[in-house]
Amino acid sequence: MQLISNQTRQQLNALHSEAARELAELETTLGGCGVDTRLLALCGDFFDAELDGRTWTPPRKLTDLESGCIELCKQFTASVSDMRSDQVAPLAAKLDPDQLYNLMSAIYLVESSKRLDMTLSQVLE
Amino acid sequence: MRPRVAADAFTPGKSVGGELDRGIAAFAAAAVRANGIDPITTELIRLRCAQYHDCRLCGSFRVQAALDAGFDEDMQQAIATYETADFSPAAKTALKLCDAMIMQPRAIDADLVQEVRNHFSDEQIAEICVDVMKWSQQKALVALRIEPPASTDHLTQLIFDGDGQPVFGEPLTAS
Repeated sequence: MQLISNQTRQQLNALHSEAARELAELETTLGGCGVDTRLLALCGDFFDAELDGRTWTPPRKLTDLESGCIELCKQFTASVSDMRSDQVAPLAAKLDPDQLYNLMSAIYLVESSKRLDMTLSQVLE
Repeated sequence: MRPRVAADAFTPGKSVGGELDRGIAAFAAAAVRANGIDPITTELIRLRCAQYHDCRLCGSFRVQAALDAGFDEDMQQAIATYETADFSPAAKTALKLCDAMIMQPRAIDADLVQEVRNHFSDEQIAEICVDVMKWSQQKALVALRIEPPASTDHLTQLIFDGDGQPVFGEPLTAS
């Protein structure tokens, strides 16, 4: 799963090669650590729209898990400090604790990578 | 504040300490190993992220390298109002960049870009942004509320070894 754009990858390779290498490793790890990559891709599309200030439209009718995940992502990107238990509960009901932990870590990676991408693309020459 | 998942519910090596966790830790260590930004500015960025994300764990540490460089609790108190604080212009700019990245990257304007480029090289800009990404990893823990402070009685020393791995150190002052 691609976390950062090719432009950001090239910039990081030149400016912070160790971080670039670890992000590349994580892209491979995400594909094989048991986290649903289709669910992550859905979250990624949502984060793209949200960070761009666009309205996100679901591509199709979402499953309960997907809906719960997107609702969590809304709070995660707006203000994780204000996350409520009822926003986590739908995922906790469908995933075991290990799956939930890994999904949350993956959501962090996807969301923060997009922030990194957007920021570097605007600030670096 | 109660955790949303019990700490003993996780299987070591499957989630906590699992492949993804180890990969994120490796990225975090790579971020820490970069040293083009001074320790005080790095600590200000770290604690700004902790404050914004409400990471109790991060907020309970003080990085020893920053303390050695003169970081103190007056600085910590001033982070919330850093634009009027007695920080260097470069440190304030780094915090503005941090805020832009963690709040609304699309709001970065030409003035901020110029300000950042006036103070920092491209390598330093990349380091700041990678640091912000690294210090935002606690968002996953905060979402599950499994980031209790290292201690509720005192601050704790945080040291990084040569590989960039964290080592929890001695108690510091009463918090």
